[in-house]
Formats: sequence, structure tokens, C-alpha cells
Amino acid sequence: MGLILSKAWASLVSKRDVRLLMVGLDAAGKTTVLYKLKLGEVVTTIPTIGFNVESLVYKNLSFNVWDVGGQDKIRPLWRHYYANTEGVIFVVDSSDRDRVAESRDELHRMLSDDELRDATLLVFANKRDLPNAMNAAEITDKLGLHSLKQRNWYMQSTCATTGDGLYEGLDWMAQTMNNRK
Amino acid sequence: MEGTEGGPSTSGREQLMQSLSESVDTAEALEAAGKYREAAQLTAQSLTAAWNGVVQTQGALPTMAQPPKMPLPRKSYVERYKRRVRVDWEKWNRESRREVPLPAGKGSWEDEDEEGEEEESNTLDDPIEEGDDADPGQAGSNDANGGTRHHSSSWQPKATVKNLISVPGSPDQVELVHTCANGVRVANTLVVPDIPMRANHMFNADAKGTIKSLFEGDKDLCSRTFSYDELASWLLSSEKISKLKLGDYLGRSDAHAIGCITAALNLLDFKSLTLDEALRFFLSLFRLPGEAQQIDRVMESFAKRYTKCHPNVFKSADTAYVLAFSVIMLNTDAHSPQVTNKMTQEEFIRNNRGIGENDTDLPSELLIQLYQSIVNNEIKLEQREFISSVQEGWLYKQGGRIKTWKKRYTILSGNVLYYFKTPKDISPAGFIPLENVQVIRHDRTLTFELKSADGGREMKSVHMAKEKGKQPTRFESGHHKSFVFRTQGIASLDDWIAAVQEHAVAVEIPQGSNASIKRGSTPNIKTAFDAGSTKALTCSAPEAAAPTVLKGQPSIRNNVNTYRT
Repeated sequence: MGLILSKAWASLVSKRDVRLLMVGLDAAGKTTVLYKLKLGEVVTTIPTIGFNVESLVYKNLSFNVWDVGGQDKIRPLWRHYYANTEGVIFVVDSSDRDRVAESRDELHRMLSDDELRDATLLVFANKRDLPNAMNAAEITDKLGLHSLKQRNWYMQSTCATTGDGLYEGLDWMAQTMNNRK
Repeated sequence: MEGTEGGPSTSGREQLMQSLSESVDTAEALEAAGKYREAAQLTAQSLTAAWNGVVQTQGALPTMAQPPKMPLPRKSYVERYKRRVRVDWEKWNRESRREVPLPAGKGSWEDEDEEGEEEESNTLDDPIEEGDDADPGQAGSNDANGGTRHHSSSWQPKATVKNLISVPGSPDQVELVHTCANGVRVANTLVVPDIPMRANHMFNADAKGTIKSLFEGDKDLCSRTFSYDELASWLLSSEKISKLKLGDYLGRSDAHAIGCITAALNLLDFKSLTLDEALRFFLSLFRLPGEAQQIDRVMESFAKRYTKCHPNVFKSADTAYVLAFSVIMLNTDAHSPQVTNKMTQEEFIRNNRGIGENDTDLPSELLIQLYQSIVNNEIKLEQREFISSVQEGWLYKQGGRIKTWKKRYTILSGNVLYYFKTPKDISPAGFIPLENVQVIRHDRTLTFELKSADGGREMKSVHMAKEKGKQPTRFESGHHKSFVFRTQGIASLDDWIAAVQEHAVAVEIPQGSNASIKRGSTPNIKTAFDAGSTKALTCSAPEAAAPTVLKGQPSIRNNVNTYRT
């Protein structure tokens, strides 16, 4: 009884830090997603020269989101950040049929990293509002998500410019993280 | 009517007399303590207040249309006072030759002055006061120069720190200057091409399209085509181009953008610079975009150029590229407030294992030097474009009402002293136009005090308005009579005082704006803008250009008014 109560209390009060990495090809909409989620907070400081990093508090989780990417040569540098990463947000442009294969390769290459073997995967199929956008099922297929073994993943179609779908995705992420601990 | 007012006016008079006698006692005590100026001021204040009270309780008397004049202190007081404050009056007077008649001093000020504290209810607008063409806070009870007002418009600050300097004698050339932490100075001369002025604005709106038009030649915009070299010189030298837009453009992957960034890098000479200094120089020219892919491309171009300038440092451009990327990562990690677990030196070295040629390790001395350089000295872009700092650093500023010391990052720029809560804040917590101020030095406490040059009246100052539960977005006038700043040491004190004295100006408050300001309020900061002395502010802090009118009116009058209603 006491244990249940204290657990319930902890889940209400405690804030857990969760590091997420945000990955995707350029122009997939990562920055838009990041700053849409951050909306409502006035940015009064001069941003640091370097990568877009934002922390946002959602439910009882404090997400620390890094926008990572770049060519293969610099990939080893992200090792430091992979080590404590619990989740990956992969953003894909659902209207870009030409580069979806490139996206798939990028995703699988990243997930094959040993440090990320336990990371949960949230896929944002972005730009769903564009006319020839692929639907969620098609993207799931083209990204080869079904072939992922022992990986907790979730596909959410979004429109980052309006914010549609972003919080549904984060809800799932928060729930997964809470079940984990 | 007389009968009905009889009761309250009698007790009102008693109240007035009582407060007057209280003031006399206080003034005597002050005088005994050697505070002559305060005493004189207090006397004047209470006399004015008493007069106001009489007028308000009995109605305006035609015979008393003019309030009693505030007594000026004797000449000997002024001389003694001047000697005590130890200000270089010669310098102060240099520009002030015009004699302005001293207006009839009156008005009363409240001593309360605390940042963000403005909750006092406003007084009723009394027709008597409005009709009174009173002078706005020009009481000058002891104008230190015996009735003269300083006047200056030609006192310009010294040349400010810039990395863009026009070459004397050749109007179409500018120098791009970078000064390293160790004092090494590099200058690269650029020839500015004859690109039409409006291309600047077009670039800020549509970078890609503008470069395409200029490169391929667009009849509507320019008479000829421009090469990448010319475009790069223009992009780096034009002060009208947004550094943010330029960074976004240089991070693009299309052929024109790559052409421009390559040409821009070729204009820069990195031969005498280490990797981190070269990176600092390059990144001071535009705002590096935040997306990983864009950073990746910019660093790749940078590394190619750096390796060309230093063929012996790195075996291949790839090594320099990975290392430069790693440095940017470190800069984010070490200085972004969003990152809580900072990378240690060991982690940095471990993370850079095997990035050399054929998976070899780079010398750890190089990595340690880079780590120390970045962690101790952030790579940053001067974003406060309106502020070209003359002197900056951490100072402790004393609070207005609660005399605590708050650490503030203080920047002296133009004729304005800005203070920020952190050096990364875009907008200051407050600022003080250095107009008609005097500097008082306190060696013992390592402090210097800014005061109004003509004595006790409120200083012109602005601070961020506090709004409950919200991020502050607007500024309002402060009520400080003086500002006290504490420095870290005697050398720093010397520097700050010298800088403040150098950049302080004497400005005459324009007569035209007086009518709009009520007696008892300080000339608000709008007046300062009208005076044209703080021009720099108007572009940068637009909120400051329209400050709220002072809410707090002198409390002596408050009392009278509450009594009347």
C-alpha cells in the first residue's frame, strides 16, 4: 500500500530527464518540429553557436532533444551522445518519394549502433498535408520498420507547421518512458 | 462652501504644519551630519509640498500663482561639494559653453527607487498642476556649475571595436580584422564590388534568388554579372546583410551557395591562425545555422580551406573537418544552457579517438588545447548588433531600494551603460544613458557611483518592466537617484571610471518636450531619444522607444489628494 502510494506520488512529482536524439535527412522538418514543440516559451537569450538543442518538459518527463546528423565521417562523434540516449525521434518527409530509400538507410544505420540498441523509436511522418504525401502504412513499409526486431517503435503522421500529431507522438514516448522505469 | 470646507482644511493645515516641522527637524539633523545638500533639498521639497497642500485645500489663490523658489545653495557649498566628488570638471566643462538660464526650481521627488517597483497608485490629475507650466524636474537645487547647463552634441565616443574597418584612402576597400585571444591581429583586405544597395535588402528577404540574379545577371537588378569572388566580398563586407540570413544561405547545398562559401573562405587567410582561432574568425562573420547538416557543410568547406593554409598540420581535409565539427559540438555542449551534463576533457579526447588519418589518434596536446580554449572562451557571435562594446564585463550593481549587490554583465556602448543578467541575454535588464552624469569614485569599496550632474534629481534610466508570471517584454523608466557599481579590483575600477567619463555626454533637454511632461516626473526616456543622443537604442530595443509614462507620483501629493477625496 505504502509502496503504491509512494510510487503514485513519485510519478506525479518527479521529473525524469530523458535524452532524445532527433534524426532525419535535411529538409525533413526537424527544426520545425523542435521549435513547434518548444512553442509558448519566449526565447530571450542569444542561442549558442552550434547545434539546435532544446529541452522541453512534457508530462513528467524532461526531454532533452538534440538535432543530430551529418555525413558518415562525423558519425563517430555522436557516440558520446548515443550513450545515454533513451529515444530517437526520426523525422521523414512523407512527400519526398525520391529520398525515402535514403531515409531508410540512414535510420537503419543509426539503429545498428550498439549504444542505441535499447532506444525506443518514434517516427514522425512529416508534411502529411502535402498533396502527394505517402500515408503512414506506406512509409512504415518503405522505411522497413516491420523488419525491426525487439525494438519499441511508433509511427505518427504529422504536420509540423501546424503542430498536428506532434503531441500524440510525444504522448506515446512519455508513456513508454514511464513504463520503463 | 466655505463652511463645509472649514473642518477638513483646518485639520489639513495642521497636518501640513506637522509635516513641515518634521521636515525641519530632519533637515537640521542632516545639516548637523554634514549633509548640506540633502538638507537643502529636503527643505525645498517640503516647502513645495506645503505650498501645494495650501493651494489644494483652499483652492488656487491668485496671489500665489507662483510657488516659492527653491533656495539655491551658497557658492561655497557648491565649491566644497565639487572638491569632494573629485570629478574632472575641466573635462566636463570643455563642451559646455552655452549658458542656459536656470529655470525656477520646484517640484518634489520621492526617494523611493527600486527596480520594477511601481505599484503606487497614481495621483489624481489635478487641474492646478496641469495648468502649471512647471519645469520638468529641472529643479537643479544646486546646479554644480552655478546656473550653466552643459551642452554638447559633438562629443563622440572613441572608435569602437569592430572587425570591419574601411581602408583609409581607398573607398572601395575594407579590412576584415580578427584579434586572437593572445593578441595576434589578422587583417584581410576586401575589394567591395559595385553591387546595388537594394540587393542587401533583397538578400535578407530571398537570399537564394538574389544571389542567382546577381550571378546570372538580372536586368532589373544589375547591369552585369558578378563572380563568386565579388559576391563573397560583398556578403562579408556589407553591414546591411543579416548575419542570420547569411549563415542560412552559406549552409545550403546548392551550387551557388557552395560557390559563395568557397570564395568567401578563399578571401580569408588562416596561415597564422590555429584551428580554433581560424574557426572563431570565420564564425564571427555570420551566424552559423543550427541544423546538423548545415553545420556539416559549413565545416567541410572550412576544413578544406584550413588544410590548404596549413598543409602540414593535418594529413587530409577530412581530419580537419571532423575536428572542426567536434569543436562545434563541444561549444554547444559546454555553453548551451539546455545541456546539463557537460562533456569532460577526458570524454572529449575519448570521443575524438581515431579521427586522424587511417583511424589514428590526434595528439592529445592538440585536443587538450582545443578543449580548454572552447570551454574557457565560448565561440560566439556579437548578436547585439546595436551595441558595439567599448568596455564590458561583470560588475556588481547595487539595488535601488534593497541595497543588495546583484551581479550584472555590464556593457558600455556609445553613450549608454547597459546591464544584462547574463552575457547571453538579448535585451538588457536595464540601461543608463550617460547624459549629464557625474562619476564618484570610492577607492575603499572599489565602487563607482553615477549621479546626476546637477545634484539630487532622478537620473535618466530604464529597466525591464516586471510583469507577474510573464517574461518581461517592455521597458519603463527607473527612479534611481544614483547607481552604484562595484568592480573586481582597483585596475578594473580605473578602467571603468575612465571609460564612463570618456563616454559620458552633457545633453540639454530640449525645451519643446518640456510641455508634455508633468512636474515631478523625470523626463522620460523618449526625451532622450528625441535628443538624439542614444540613437543606437532605437533600432535595437524598440520597446524602449515607447516607454510607459511614470506611474509613481510624489507621495506627498498623494496624501493631500487622498485627503481631499
